[in-house]
Amino acid sequence: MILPHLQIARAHWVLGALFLAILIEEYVPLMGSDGRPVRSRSLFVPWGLMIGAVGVWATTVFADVVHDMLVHTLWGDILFAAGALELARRRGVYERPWLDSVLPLAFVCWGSLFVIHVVMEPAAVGGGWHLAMGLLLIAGGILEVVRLQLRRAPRIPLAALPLTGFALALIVIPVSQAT
Amino acid sequence: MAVPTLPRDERRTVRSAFVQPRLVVALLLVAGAVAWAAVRGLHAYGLTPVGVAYTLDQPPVLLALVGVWLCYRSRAR
Repeated sequence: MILPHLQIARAHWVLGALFLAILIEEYVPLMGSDGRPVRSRSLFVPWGLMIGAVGVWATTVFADVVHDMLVHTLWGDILFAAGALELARRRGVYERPWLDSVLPLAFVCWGSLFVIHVVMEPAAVGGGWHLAMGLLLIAGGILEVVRLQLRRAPRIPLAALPLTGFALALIVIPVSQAT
Repeated sequence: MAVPTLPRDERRTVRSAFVQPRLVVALLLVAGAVAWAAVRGLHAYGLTPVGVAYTLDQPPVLLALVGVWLCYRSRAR
């Protein structure tokens, strides 16, 4: 079964909105009553990542191109692994310093897969957009890795900008492809 | 004449009550969604479960839903 363009666009819109909500929840701080920024550490982020992984894996069933199947499966794997590790940490069952790097590295891996996707099929529709989206994810991941090394980090992480750009692109670009 | 000022802690409380970054982002998202819906238009797909899902799964509606959810999540805790 191969899905028409509009259905593919619908799936991307939902995933884009989910990713946008995850990013804002994770990177836009809540100001506490004392005026200090508080990171939410809510369970919505890991659950959102894992639900997104299931959505991305679904592409493996509906895709008609082998490299689409492969790349989407790997995207789902990375999302699920990141979600599972974050869930374990936020539930307090597994706490290690390196877990801070899980989300940034997941973004870098995810972005690299976008680039690999383009390299595997350079003539595909929207190749330029895929490349731009991959680079936004890689930039977001690298900025977040750098932020983790800083003693005084900015109130709103700089990585939020490219990552939000990626999420909005995931919503907007399929609109132009579907119409 | 000296201008009366609030103590530092109270200033922080007042500032945090008005400048909640999430609320700013939420309002931007809702405004963007309204503008997008005005330009692009929205479709109603009926009241069947699939129709409701299709109606909600439109980019401006999704952006507005994220914005409204964010408003809820930006309340002080």
